[in-house]
Formats: sequence, structure tokens, C-alpha cells
Amino acid sequence: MDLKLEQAGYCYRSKYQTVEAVKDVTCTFSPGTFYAIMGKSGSGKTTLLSILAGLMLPTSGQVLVDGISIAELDRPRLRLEHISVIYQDFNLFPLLTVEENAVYPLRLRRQREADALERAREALLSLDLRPEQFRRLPNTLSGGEQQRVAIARALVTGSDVILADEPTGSLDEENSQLILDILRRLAREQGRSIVVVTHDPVAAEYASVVFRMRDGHLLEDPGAQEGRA
Amino acid sequence: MGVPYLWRQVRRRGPLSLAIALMALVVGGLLCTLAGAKARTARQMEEVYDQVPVACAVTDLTGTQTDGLGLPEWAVNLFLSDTTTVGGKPLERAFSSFVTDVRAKLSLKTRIVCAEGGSSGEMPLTAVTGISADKALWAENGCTISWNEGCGEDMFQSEQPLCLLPADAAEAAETAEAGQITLCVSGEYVKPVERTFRVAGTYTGGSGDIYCSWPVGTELSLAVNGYLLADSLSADIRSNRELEQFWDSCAGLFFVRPDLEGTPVEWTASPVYTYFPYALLINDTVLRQTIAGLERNQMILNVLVRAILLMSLAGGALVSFLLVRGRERELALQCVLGMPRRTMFAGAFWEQFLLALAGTALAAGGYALLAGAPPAWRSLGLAIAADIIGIAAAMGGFLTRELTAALRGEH
Ligand SMILES: Nc1ncnc2c1ncn2[C@@H]1O[C@H](COP(=O)(O)OP(=O)(O)OP(=O)(O)O)[C@@H](O)[C@H]1O
Ligand SMILES: [Mg+2]
Repeated sequence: MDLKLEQAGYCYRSKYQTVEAVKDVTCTFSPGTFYAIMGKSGSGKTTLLSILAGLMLPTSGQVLVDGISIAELDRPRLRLEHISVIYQDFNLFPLLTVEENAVYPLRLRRQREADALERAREALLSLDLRPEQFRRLPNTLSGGEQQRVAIARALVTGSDVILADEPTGSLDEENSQLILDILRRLAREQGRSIVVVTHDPVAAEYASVVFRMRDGHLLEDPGAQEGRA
Repeated sequence: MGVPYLWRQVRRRGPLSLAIALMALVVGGLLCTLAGAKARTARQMEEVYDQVPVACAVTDLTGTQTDGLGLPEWAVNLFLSDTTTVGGKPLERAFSSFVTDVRAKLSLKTRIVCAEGGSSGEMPLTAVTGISADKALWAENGCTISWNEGCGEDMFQSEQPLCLLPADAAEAAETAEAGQITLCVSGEYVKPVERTFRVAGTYTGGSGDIYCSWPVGTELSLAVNGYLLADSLSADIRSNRELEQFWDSCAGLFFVRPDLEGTPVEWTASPVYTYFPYALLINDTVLRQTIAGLERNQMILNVLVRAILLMSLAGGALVSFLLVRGRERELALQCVLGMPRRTMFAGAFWEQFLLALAGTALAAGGYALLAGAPPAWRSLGLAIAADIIGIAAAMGGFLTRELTAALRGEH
């Protein structure tokens, strides 16, 4: 699935001020590619991700999904079936157990409960979570463990696009590499597009395309790609 | 996410849930107690209406004189017959149907005729409808009556010539045929009438009058005077609830209310007032004061009930609002994960609605437990409506905010 931004911009408007968080961004996110977006805090990365996920509509320009404007699409359904989002902080239902959280999108899709649970557990195991943690509530897990549960949830659905905001922010090096490996494999082997927002230059090295955000503008970072090649 | 998730929420916020549940119970109990007090006051009011005696009496215009009034026949008829036209004025309901235990008194002049042919000095012959009609006959005023065999107070209703004598007069009668006395009754215009009475009893203390029954007295009055004049007329009100109606549709057409000035007024609407300006004193002060007190209590209770109801409605709405608001992040996460908004809203609404129902049920339970009575359905309906408003307000607020802001838990 192609995700394309066309001169997309987003402006937060409140009574007191307007903040142009994303300005005139044009780019394409294609299947089978791992993208990293880097940039200073407040440069508009999360905003851009939210626009891509259809959580907000761009205030100027447009987002095209396989050539169709996202404004005309059923966006909840789009997220349910094609786009998984991992946010920076609040990702898990605090009163659902780890495995209930992981299986949630499958339940939304009305998959058979036994199969769904099976898949959710597999995903959790693949992210190095232990079975005895499956029935615990998220707040009994460390920040990194919680982050991994959220990533597991994004993995189980097999969606075409995974948008992740700082997925490795609270993980140690080992776990970061584990996750980035998995994400890269998903892009290469399953042809998904992966978009990862990160501060971590190491994480950016896993990406095949690296963007930099500056003041709301999205710039391709050719240096980073060359460096990896 | 359904009832299990709801239950987890309730358990997670254990102390808060408990506090809210307790509040609901207390409010329900409080409302019940107040409703009980209201019902008790209403019952007391009924009892007061049923039991507080209210008397009425014809008086002069100032309301001070109740005896020796010289009341004409139409007035007597108002109280004692069920006539429905007075002075050519038709009445919806007979005056006498509003009153009971009518007390009337009239006086004539008489002499006791002695067997030897002479007679005693002039003394009053008083006709009454019963002992209650003349204070002089009351035991508490020092009068002791001893009835002859087979006689009693019912003599005053009898058409037989029976009389009650003061003890000293009775001694004089002893000389005559046993138990009999002949009286010569004289009037203003017509010649005197002699009539033999059987002595029904004697009394000591009191006025010293000779007493006869009301029917015999009226008959004699007509015979010797050609007219009927009563000294006093009074009665009890049959039903206190009809007091207003009594005055408006009946008594008020003939009488004025007494006032201390006692000024006669020009009043052509009454068929009799111009010639016979009398007042009707209705002794309802105790009744009115008692009722007014109870009504005040009832009003206070009403205000209290309403205030508590309003407060609990507002409280319910606020709690619902805050509960939904406290779940905004979860709702936003549901949206992020692709739950259609409608499903999300419907689910959240039902969960919250169930909570509101549970709270309301607790309040109703508290009520029913204390009252042993079915709850006030209307109030419960209102409470649920208030909760729905609270839920809707919170959801409306959620709708107007960006999903990402809601996800971050910003308000
Ligand atoms: N709800 C909002 N209302 C107003 N301004 C906002 C809002 N959210 C973000 N902004 C502003 O938009 C700009 C971009 O924010 P954004 O969250 O996209 O930055 P970011 O690159 O994700 O930063 P970080 O690396 O710290 O997460 C910032 O200047 C921020 O202050
Ligand atoms: Mg951010």
C-alpha cells in the first residue's frame, strides 16, 4: 500500500496561538521499505505520523492512500486493517492484561478467539516477553516491556504499514536491536512499509531511507543512506 | 469492552466506587426518610381535619354576644331544617347539611299554676335542643341534674310535654298531682296557654329556669307569640374540609363575619341581612393554626426533597461526566486501534449507562430498604436522565478534541 503526502501541512490552532507543526511535506512511503524520521524535539514528527495514520486530517495539502485522499476513506477501518500505530506514551489499556492488549486488534477484527490468542502469544514471545507476564496488567511491567507489548500488538495484525513513534526510546540496546531487526524483517520479507520516528542514530541505521524533520519541513538525508550502503 | 472491563474499572477504583455507592445509598435513604416525613405530615393533616372540632355560632356583628339574640325563624330553619330556599334565595346545598349537633335555645315566660287555683310568680320557660345548648345546665358550671325514672337528656328532642324543673320549683309541684305540673305560658300578643307537663327531672344550681324540649318550646312560642325567636344558635361543622365551601356557597350568603367594629354594611346581595344583621362566628383558629403549621412543615420538606434531589441529580451528572472524562485516553486508544467511532461511543455509553443504572439502583435500594416501599420512579428516571446528560456532555467534549490530544490525556 502506498502512502503519499502531497504538500501536506498541519497547523495547530488555539485561541492564543497557531503553530504550524508540519509544513508543505511531499513524499511517498512505499511497501517493503524501512523509513526513519529524525529531528529535534518539537520539529513535528509526531504530528506527521498522526497525519499519516489518519488520526488528524492535514490542514493543507493531502494524504493519499493508493491514490485516494485519506479524507474520503473510512479511517478507523483503514487503521484496523492496514495501518498500525505505536505512540510515544499511552499505548496499552491499563485494565487489560498483556495478552488481552496484544489480542485487541484481532478481537476488533472478529477473528476466532483461539487463533487470535495463539498469534498474540507468538508475537509477545518473539519480543522476548515471558509467558508469566501475559496475564499481568501493563502497569506491573517496565516501560520497555510495555513498549514491546505495544509493538507485539502492531505485529499481530499483519497490517501493511506500521507507524512507530520512538519505539526504542525506552529500551536497552539489546532490546532495541531485537525490535529493529524484527521491523526490518517485516519490511524486507513481508513487504510492509515501516515508518519509525527516532532520536537514536543507531536505530536510523536500520532504515533504508532516512528523513530529517526541521521546523515542520521533511528533508531526505542522503548522507545517512550513503553511509549505510 | 463490556461488563468485565467495567467491573475491572470499578474494582480498580475501589475506594472511589465505594464512596460513590455509599453516597447513592445515603441519598436514597435520605430521600426516603424525607418522603416518610412528608407522608406522616400529610396523615397528621388528615387527622387534624378529622378531629379538631370547629364550632360555629350566630352572634351580633361584633362577635361578642351569642345569647339573647332574638333570632328569627329563618335563622332557626337554616340550622334545623333542610330547607334550600331562604328569603327566596335558592341554595345548592342545605345549610344544615354542613353542620351537625345543632344547639338552639329560646325563652318564654310562664307561671306555675297551683292546684288551689293561684299561681307562682313569673319565671322563664326555656326550650333547648339539648343540655349543650345552655351553659347553665352544664355540670362544670355547677348544675346537677337528677332524672326521674325512664327519663334523660332525650327529653329535649321529644314532642311530649316534658319538663326539667329547678329543685325548689319542684317542691311546689309536689303539692299538685304526682309528677305533673301545669304551666301557664304567656306571650306578647296572643292570650296565654295552659299546658300540663310531666316532670322528667329536677336540677340544683344553674339558672332556675324551667326547661322544656325544643319542639314543645317552638310550638308554644308560635301559639302565644305568633312567631319564633331564638336566643342562641350554634352547631359543629360536619366536615372541616368543607369550611370554605360552607362559607362561599351557603353561610356567606346570609351572614357577615364578625368584626370588632361591628359596623353594619349595606348588603343587598343577602336576602335577610338588611333586616337581621347577624354575624356567624366560625371558631376555626385552632384548626387553621395547626394546619398552617403542618403546611409549613410540608413546604420545608418539599424544598428539602427538591434540593437533595437536584443536588443528587447534579452530582450524578458530574460523576458520570468525570468518569467518562477519566476514560478519554482509553477511548482515544480504541479509536487509534481502529474501532469505529460509533462502536466506541455506543460501547462507552452503555458501560457508563450501566454504571449509572447501578448507582441509581443502589439509591433505590437504600430507599426501599428504609421505606419498605416502592421507590419514587419519577425521581429515579430523572436521576438516570441526569447521568445520561453527564455522559453525553463528556462525550461531546471528547468529540471536539483532537484524538492525539485526548490520547495524551489533555483536557
Ligand atoms: N495539541 C497541540 N496544540 C498546539 N500545538 C501543538 C500541539 N501538539 C503539538 N504542538 C506543537 O507542534 C509542534 C510539533 O509537535 P510534535 O509533537 O509533532 O513534535 P515532535 O517532533 O514529535 O517532538 P518530540 O520529539 O518532542 O516528540 C511543537 O512545536 C508542539 O509544541
Ligand atoms: Mg513526538
